[in-house]
Amino acid sequence: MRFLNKFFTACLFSVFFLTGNYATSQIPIYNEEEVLKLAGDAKAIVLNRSEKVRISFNKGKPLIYVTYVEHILFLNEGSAAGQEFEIPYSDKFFPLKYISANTFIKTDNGYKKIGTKPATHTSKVKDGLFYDDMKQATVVLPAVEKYSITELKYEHQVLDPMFVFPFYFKPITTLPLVKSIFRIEYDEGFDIKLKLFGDTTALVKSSDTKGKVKWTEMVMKNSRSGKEYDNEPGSAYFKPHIFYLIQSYSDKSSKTEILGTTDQLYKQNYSYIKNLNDEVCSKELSAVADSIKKTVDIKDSLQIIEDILYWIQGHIRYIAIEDGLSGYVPRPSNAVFDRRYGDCKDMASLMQYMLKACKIQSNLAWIGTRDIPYSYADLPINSSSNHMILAKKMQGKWHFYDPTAEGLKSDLPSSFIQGKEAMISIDENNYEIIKVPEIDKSINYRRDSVQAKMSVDGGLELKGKLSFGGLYRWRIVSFYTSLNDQKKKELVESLIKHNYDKAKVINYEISNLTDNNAPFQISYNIIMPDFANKIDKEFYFNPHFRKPIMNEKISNERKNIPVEYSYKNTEIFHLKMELPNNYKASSLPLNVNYNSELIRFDRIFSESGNHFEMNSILEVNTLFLKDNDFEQWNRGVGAINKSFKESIVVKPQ
Amino acid sequence: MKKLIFPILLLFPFISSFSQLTYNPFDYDFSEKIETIDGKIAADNEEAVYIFNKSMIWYGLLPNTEYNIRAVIIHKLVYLNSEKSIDDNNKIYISNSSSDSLHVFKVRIIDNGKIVREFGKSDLKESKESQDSKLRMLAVEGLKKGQMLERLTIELQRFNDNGSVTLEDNYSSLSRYVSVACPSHLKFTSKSYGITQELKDTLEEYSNFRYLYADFGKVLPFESEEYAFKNTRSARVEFTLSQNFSSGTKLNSWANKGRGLMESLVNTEKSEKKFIDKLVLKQNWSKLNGKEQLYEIETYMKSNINISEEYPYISNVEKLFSQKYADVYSVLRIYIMIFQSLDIKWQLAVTVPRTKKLFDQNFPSSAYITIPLFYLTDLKSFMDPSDYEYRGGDISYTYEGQKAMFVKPMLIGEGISGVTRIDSIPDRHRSLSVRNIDIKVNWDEDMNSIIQTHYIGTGHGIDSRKLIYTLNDKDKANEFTEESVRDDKKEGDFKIIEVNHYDLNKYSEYVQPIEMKYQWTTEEFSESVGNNILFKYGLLIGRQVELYKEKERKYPIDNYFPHDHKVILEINIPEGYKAKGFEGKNKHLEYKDSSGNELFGIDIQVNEKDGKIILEIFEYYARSVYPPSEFEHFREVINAAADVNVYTLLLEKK
Repeated sequence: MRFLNKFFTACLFSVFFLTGNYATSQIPIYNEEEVLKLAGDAKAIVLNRSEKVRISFNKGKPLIYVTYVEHILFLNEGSAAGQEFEIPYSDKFFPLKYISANTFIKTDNGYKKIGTKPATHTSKVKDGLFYDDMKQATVVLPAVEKYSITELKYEHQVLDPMFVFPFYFKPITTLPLVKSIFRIEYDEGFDIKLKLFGDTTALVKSSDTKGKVKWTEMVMKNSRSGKEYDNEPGSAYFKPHIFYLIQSYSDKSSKTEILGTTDQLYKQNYSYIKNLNDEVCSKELSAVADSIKKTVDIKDSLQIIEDILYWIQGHIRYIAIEDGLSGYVPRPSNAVFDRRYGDCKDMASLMQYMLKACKIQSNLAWIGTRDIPYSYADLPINSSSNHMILAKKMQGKWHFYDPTAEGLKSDLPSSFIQGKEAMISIDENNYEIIKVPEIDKSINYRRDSVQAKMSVDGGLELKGKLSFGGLYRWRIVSFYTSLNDQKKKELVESLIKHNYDKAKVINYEISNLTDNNAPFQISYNIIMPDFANKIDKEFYFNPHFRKPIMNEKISNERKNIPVEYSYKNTEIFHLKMELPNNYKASSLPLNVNYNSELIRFDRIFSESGNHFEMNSILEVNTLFLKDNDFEQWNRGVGAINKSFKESIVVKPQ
Repeated sequence: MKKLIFPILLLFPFISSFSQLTYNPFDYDFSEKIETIDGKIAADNEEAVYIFNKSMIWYGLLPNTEYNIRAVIIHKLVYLNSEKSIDDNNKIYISNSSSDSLHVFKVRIIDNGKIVREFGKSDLKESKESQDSKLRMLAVEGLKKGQMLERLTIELQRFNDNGSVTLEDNYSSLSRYVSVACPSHLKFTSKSYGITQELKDTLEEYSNFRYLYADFGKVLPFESEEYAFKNTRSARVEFTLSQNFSSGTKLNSWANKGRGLMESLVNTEKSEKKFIDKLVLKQNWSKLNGKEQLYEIETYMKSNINISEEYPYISNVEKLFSQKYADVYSVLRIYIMIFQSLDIKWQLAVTVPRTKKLFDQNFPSSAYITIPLFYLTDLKSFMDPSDYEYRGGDISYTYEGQKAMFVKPMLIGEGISGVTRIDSIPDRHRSLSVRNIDIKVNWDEDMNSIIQTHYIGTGHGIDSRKLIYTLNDKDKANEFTEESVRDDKKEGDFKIIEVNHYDLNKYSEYVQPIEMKYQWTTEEFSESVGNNILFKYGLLIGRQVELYKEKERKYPIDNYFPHDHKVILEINIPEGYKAKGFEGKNKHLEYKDSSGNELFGIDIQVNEKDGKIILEIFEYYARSVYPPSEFEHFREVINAAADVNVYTLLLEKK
């Protein structure tokens, strides 16, 4: 996302396609019966995937090679020939030293090797990015058929030990795996730290020293095909993976510190911003800052911050740009202002620059979005951050501003950074690591207030007002504004038709689309023909037009894979129903009050004459559910579902 | 002096129209005059509008060579009237294949009559957005609402004797101009579809070129309708090379095209024949016959050789079998050799998916012969060599109900040539594409409904389920099934009990309907009303979407394929309860054309019998396409099925 950490991304790409076995070009010996048993119904099985990291000295500096090998046994009838495999690399940071791919076809006498054509090399631009110095080598596998084995091998050189990326033992959950190995070998003099993340219970470690070379190996064996689930967080939360950190190296008399502490990480991060915006503010940029300043009381710094934030969001388009180190270094603000586009760090630094022009001091901050589970203390390297925001301390409390979050109220952090640590730059030697607050459930709301009138044939005429606040507003507005007119209409209609296919929209009106400080509202009139079922002379219908979290029960099979929600939220539904003359709700469901740490649900009915009202409120008070939350969560969902399933019968008086 | 005025006045209109008409890809450029039109007024509240939108095709020689080429000039000026249009336009993608031949690529941003930024070919970055799309991209920096974006691309391509221009773009075009230029010794003919205006032919030459051209004026964007294939129904112009005056050859006849294709495929080397004879012997195909023989040949080929447009043409048979991937024409040759070896009578049937274009017999163009199929004359069956899903005489519905160019091989002298005719690939009868669903509902002690479903699907009615089960692990395929049955309803225990006859690679399974049995124990469809239960049984048949009519139907109804859909749903009335609310739901709709041929219909019956409520639905659609005039009736039938979704039973405690 945002400020892309190319190495982390490279790693994810690589693990999807390839791995390595530092053994040479020979297919692994395997027990066919056992492998087929492990594969079950799978169409392919990874016989082995492995990565070997070799760190040695070259003229007193670290020399790092990372070698990958992967062998996959294909078990399906259909040919997989022509399948492409992609290996990412960067000439500036981790050049590809060699690549080789082969197919081994099973014959009566063993295996026949068929090599691929040479790899093709192209630049890689991911969706949403403008420029990127990443490249990829592509090889096409020939002659793949049932019981053939594909082999992929390649080697990267890591030019800068500051940039390391992880090895995932089993990146594709659904593909069974016989063996996955990570091995690191390093010369005496290197201080290496291995950091394991995800569910590491299946890993077996061994290590030793041979001569002046130390080695450590981590092995995962016999892993069956797994299942993928809804609302999985980033795979780094649960898939086993390992980082190697070169903390320091000593050569003869000197010791060089590289990685391992947050101080070292900050020192490196600060080097990217220390010469930022040394030039004089351009006339045009000053003019905009002045015009903002003039419209508000100069003492009202909060208002100036908000105005500048909204100005940037409205005038600078977010476009991720990566080109070598510029993936880390913000561009000069005058240039960003002039070009009217930039990535997260460009937008954050422009905001800081414009605030400075208004005599307001603020601080740049690095942060990892919620796809990344690492804290800075756990993993004090670049891979822990992939985004930049602006921080401002007021009355002893830090406030966080994300200029990329267009449409979001200024005092709210975006959903993908809440609860995450920000590394705030104070000056060359000082920084603070502060957690961005999680936004309270009451701020992120959806409120639907409906007045309904039932006709004698069971149809409803509805007049409603639907409002969205906080991150709920942001999500809907961001999506809405990205659509063309036809899709916008479809989106609004889907929101106001209450999931009733037969509903017909009479009209609707949208308000506060551009006012970030006000709820996004849709006032609407619809009709819902045949909504109430007429059985004999009575009408039956369910008053819960919308049943949020009804389908959010967590499967009992789900183990060690958390559930992630974008934000805590509140759903409020108010229904005021007018029944046909001489009709009355014969028995209203009971009021409900369910309360737990994770979910709360309240429902109150009242009635008068041929009218009744229902007020319901549902609060989801969690961003993340772990195994030990599942039972409590399911209990709550079950209880609420029961209430959602209570219908009303309306009878003639 | 006065004498001069007359000839000059006469000359101006001529020069003006001449210069507008003629163009050359090697000197075509942006106009020096900057457009100053008030785009805001022109856009008239639309997201954006093309002030002009020109597609100009040029045929001729690559300068200083003898290579015949085609140049495609796209020149458009768009006024950006919304933030959305900026997002749509701030990245311009050029496909990788085009980038190889990209002669000119220029983009400029115009603001109030002034050029504020310009971009060129060197600003394009190579990219790869996904596994399937290889692209180059221009980042159009600093684009703002209210500006105009002018874009010119000129691609030099290999000579291609046909092409088409879709007239409807993503925004309205105020002036939609199309032109085809060719050297005067050639003649192109064109035909418009979905719009009445045709390209005009200059008939005479301007600087050794003749032109087909038209300004279609204002063209609105395509207005989508339910049950209308966008590509098929969009307004477009097709053009094709029809004559070469210098050689005296008439080129645009189906006979020529068929003969040319046949001759490029049939003549084989002796060594190839030997290789194929050996393969045929090894596979024992001669011991089979009929559809089973065809099925086994296809299964072998489709399991062993991957086909893709991106793969190379491989003429050497042995190399092809070693590499195991190639383009479709390489593989067609293999099939033909196999057929010859087994003495199977075959013809080529070449067509285009009707989801893209409707084959036009009266306009012989290679645009209509993009997909080669085989027609096995003894079996009276078709075969698609490049579609993994279909075997043994089955093909995708996209070719059924479509015409095709049939080419029969014929021995002429020592070589084989082809005899061509245009004929139809018939629609498969609706009774061959069937979904039969039997559902039984019982109750457990907690009054959860136990829903047992028995699904049987044949023909196109199987919704690619066999393909899903063949290509995926069974667990994964079961997940697909579960998701499609549950829709977004996740409550309760779902288990798949049996899936039979799904393996595309086993003949005995391929020829039988796929059969699936699953059970779902859930309270998903029940609601409580005091001590009584409302059971929303109408939802058990799957969600049916209501079809609305907001405007007069414009396009014919593209109904995918003829099919039958049968549902029998039996609900056991639980002990201690009586059922209410099923009465008065019966419905029967049936429509025929003026000749009495069936079109579509639905029959819905809900009855109580032997302690059960039984819902029976029989829905059928006899054709793949209906005229717009049938839309209202079609809608009635679709909506009758959608109405079932709200059927609810009251189970009242006795």
